[in-house]
Amino acid sequence: MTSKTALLFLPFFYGFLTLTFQAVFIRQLVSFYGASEINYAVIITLWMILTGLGAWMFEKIFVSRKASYKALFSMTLLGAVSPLLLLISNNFIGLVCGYDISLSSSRIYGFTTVALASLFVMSPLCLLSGAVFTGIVRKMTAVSEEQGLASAYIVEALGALTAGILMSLLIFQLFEDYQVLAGMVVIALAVASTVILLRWFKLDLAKKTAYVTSIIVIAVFTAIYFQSFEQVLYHNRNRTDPYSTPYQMLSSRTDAGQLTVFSNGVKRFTTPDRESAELVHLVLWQKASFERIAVIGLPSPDLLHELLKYSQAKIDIYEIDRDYYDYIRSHLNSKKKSCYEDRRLTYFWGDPHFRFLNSDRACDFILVNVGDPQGISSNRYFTHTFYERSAKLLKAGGILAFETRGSGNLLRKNLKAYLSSLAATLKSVFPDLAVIPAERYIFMASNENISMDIDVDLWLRNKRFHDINTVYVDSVYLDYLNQPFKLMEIEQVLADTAGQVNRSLRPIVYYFNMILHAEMFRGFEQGFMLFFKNHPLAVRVLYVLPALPLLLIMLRRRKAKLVSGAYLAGFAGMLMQITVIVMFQALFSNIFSRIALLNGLFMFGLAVGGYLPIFWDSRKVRNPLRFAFSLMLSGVLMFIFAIVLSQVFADSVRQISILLLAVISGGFSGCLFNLSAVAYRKRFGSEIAGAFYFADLVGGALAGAVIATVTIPLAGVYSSLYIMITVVVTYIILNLSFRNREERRSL
Amino acid sequence: MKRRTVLKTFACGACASLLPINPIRQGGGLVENALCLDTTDTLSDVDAMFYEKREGTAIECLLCPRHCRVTDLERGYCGVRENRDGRYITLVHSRACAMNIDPIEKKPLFHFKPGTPAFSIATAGCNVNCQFCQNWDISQVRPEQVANVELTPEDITQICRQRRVPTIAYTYSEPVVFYEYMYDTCLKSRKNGIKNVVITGGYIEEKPLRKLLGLVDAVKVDLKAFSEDYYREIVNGELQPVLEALKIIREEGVWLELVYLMVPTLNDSEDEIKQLCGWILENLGDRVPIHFTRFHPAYLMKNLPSTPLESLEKAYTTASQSGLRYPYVGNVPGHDGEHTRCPDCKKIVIRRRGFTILENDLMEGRCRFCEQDLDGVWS
Repeated sequence: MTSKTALLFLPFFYGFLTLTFQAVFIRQLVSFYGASEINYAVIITLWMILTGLGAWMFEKIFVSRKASYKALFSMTLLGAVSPLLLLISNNFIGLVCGYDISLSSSRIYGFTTVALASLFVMSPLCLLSGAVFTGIVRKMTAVSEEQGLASAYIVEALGALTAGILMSLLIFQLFEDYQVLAGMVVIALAVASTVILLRWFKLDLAKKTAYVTSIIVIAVFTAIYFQSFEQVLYHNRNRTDPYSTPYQMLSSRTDAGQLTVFSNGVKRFTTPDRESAELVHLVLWQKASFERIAVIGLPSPDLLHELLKYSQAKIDIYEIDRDYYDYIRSHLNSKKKSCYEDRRLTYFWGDPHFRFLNSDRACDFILVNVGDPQGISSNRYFTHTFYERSAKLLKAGGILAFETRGSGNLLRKNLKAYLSSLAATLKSVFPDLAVIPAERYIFMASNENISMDIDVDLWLRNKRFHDINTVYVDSVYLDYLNQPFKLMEIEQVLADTAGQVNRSLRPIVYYFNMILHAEMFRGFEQGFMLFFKNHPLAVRVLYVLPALPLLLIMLRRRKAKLVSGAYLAGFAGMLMQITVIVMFQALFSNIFSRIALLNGLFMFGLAVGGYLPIFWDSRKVRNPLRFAFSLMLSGVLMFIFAIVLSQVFADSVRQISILLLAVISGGFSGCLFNLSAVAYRKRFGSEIAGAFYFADLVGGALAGAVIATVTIPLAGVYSSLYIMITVVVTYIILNLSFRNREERRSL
Repeated sequence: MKRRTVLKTFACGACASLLPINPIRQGGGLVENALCLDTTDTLSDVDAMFYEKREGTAIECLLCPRHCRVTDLERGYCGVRENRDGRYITLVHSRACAMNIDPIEKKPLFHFKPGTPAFSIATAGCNVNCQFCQNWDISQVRPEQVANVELTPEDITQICRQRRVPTIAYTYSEPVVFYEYMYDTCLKSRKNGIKNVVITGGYIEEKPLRKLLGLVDAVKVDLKAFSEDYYREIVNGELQPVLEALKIIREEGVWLELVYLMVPTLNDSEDEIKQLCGWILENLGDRVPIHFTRFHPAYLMKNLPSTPLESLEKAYTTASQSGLRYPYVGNVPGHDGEHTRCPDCKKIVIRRRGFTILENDLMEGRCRFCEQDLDGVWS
């Protein structure tokens, strides 16, 4: 192995390693704590900032002390085993030393706690990863005259791309998370050892002994610890049978004949649980006769049991996750399992949003059984578009219904805003709307004005007519439901004209749902979310976030201005990547494998885009900036074009255009980064990898923090276009600031 | 401030002062239609009870065992009692954020006027922080964060009279934190023959508790667990003061029922239930009903399963075998453990399903089958 190859291998390996650990960490967080999109944003933002910080901090060390091979490989070794150090803390995700940031048993956590725990867990690996990146670049620059920073950037992206593809398509399908983690550590040890072995014969006996001993100790420790690692991971909740499907992490728990199934860490259903399942009758008793019911999302055993009480009903079930179906059936007794095999049921596998809306099976009821709009993809079932198309699939006088969070107390302001928004969205399509104030509020909407009523007599009449036997939903319960205070509040919600209509690309209901989640934790997260909700102007101010480097023009910091290019590259890259992911989820689904594909395409674009400035440089292209500008502008134009395409054309064209967007996003970001890197090297004859990497990742982290959590939900996906325009304008101004000075010559 | 702005502000203020101060009562009339839900943004500033002045303007709250030391413009742990220049005030007097007419069985009070409704009210705030709270949206927030309706003790009494509701229940959040409101409402309603019941965690000091017990007809205490660790980690409170409060309630002769919410893996061990039953028997006697209720995931504990029926049934059996006369299984509609059985002949004297009384075989508090007296407030 030549020095150069060995050096190029390291960023590739680190790209691979960090993405794998990041994936394992996020998956664990999801499986235990039901992490939401905002948690991902927190983790990825922290990940980027820590890595950038590592790069920046160690650059100063590498300037004074040479980045030797030994140092780099030792740091790789340390980085690889650093997640193991956390195992000593008795909890991989949690931690040791403080109550405040320990993620302990059986409860859910706010963003602040998740952020603190992530900070603790990820710090060693991220800091070392950034440090190694800087060290490699310095070493490469010393070894050859080539573009070290630009090359390392590309190779690291390729490493991450390889990990993304392998993990999503193969490794996570075959192995459990803890096995992946153990495997990665062992591989890292082997790699580092092999490289060290190449220099083996130059070492004296003491060093040889030290190396061998340390590797053996670590290996033994790993082996011992990993035997009980699964129990450590699943200890908190005594969960059994963890199982990953392409769409969710499933686990279950059986206590004394009671089965509870968890999806992504949050309870999906408990059986027996007849009382909540019986609430479905309140909807079905609106009609004396009906034929077909469409259920979006696989019903729980008890819910299905209640539905099957209507002997005349044919039930269409739309579910994305066939593995989930197999999983729950494998845990049920034969009686409950037989419910799922009833011949009146017809299953439609695949994305329900797509399968159902493209179906031609008219139905009397549509029961949306997907929970609250906790993510962008579940938000799709609460939008104007979904309701519009559902209304056409309903027979005349048919009813669409779903349950969502409510309150037995007076509705607080944020909950009212959430419910008003749901009501406004339904009202924008359906002429008739009613809400039942049960434990969870039941919304019912009809495509004709059939005067739906939450009238006890009507319910009881139809209960008798259908001859339904219930344990819980009886006349006393129904009387109790019709509390005059609750009904008056619901009237207020339905009459509220300020409710905003929820759309796929402007998921306002999802944002309100996040606020309601944040309310449980009070403090920072609630204040943050409410601030932007209450101050629309503040959201617009975020549009100029990419223009922060313009301050440097005023300060006349020439070096910093070039580093700003990396900041813009990071910002633009993350902006576009998140926009693409949100668009994909909003329009299609939360199919994780496709999300991995999107990330893979982004990385591919990043590598290609990153290569262009090196290519121009080696070919002595006379004015690469001109090329770069034309590339950027065509990128922006294609970005706009693809968004338009995605709105106008059919699903297949939309999918292709979104995938294309992912490549463009990566290419744009990679090109922008390396343009600045190449320009800096040409101008100053050296490279400051740490500062560049730091600026890139800070840009990305900032974009990640604001785009996913604030601007898209509150201002819509099109706000990304405005922010993109700010990026381009800032870049042009930054370059113009050079054009009038001597730097122009170097560029 | 610009001149135009000043004028505008004054004009608005003048207009506002001409509007009815209390839109609930004057705009349509709470008393007339009893159901107007106009909310108010203003909080009360009624003098709080049970506190002592400390150095400077600081005070020490003596209402609950927390004994919050509150400096000027600060609030106690409950978030609803504020120090204003050495004067401790309650912000939630006559500020209800929840009201419903519930069956008394929902509280649950099974030995108190069965089959009757209770006008149930609450304000924001709580003096503990249970991680499984079903009403966290009012108990774990400040009064500014909820919708409040101005509902005076007079209004409550009127509503009860108009709608023929025999009982007022102070419930949902923690009534101890709106003590003054509860106290005044008790005073007012008793004069009109309305009964008062308190649904509480029992985390209260002796003096205020004894004073309150003189006015109320029944107390239901949520005994969250029988371990200090659980109280410290899951409830953010203490067990011992609650046990002391239980003894006082019994001593004062006010009807008492207990609820024990069984949270899987955290407080459902057989040992703990045995110890609990033993303590009740020794300190409260065998005539106190105890409801072992089913936990459903809520608030911060959404990642636990609901309580398995078998755990509840085991607890029920343990309580019966320990000698407690009235154990129940709660939150499981249709379960056999919902019925009241005669401790003597073991026959079902009150058959329930959920909140519904299906059959009542009590005659003036006696079993119709064996004429054994059953403990409770039956009429």
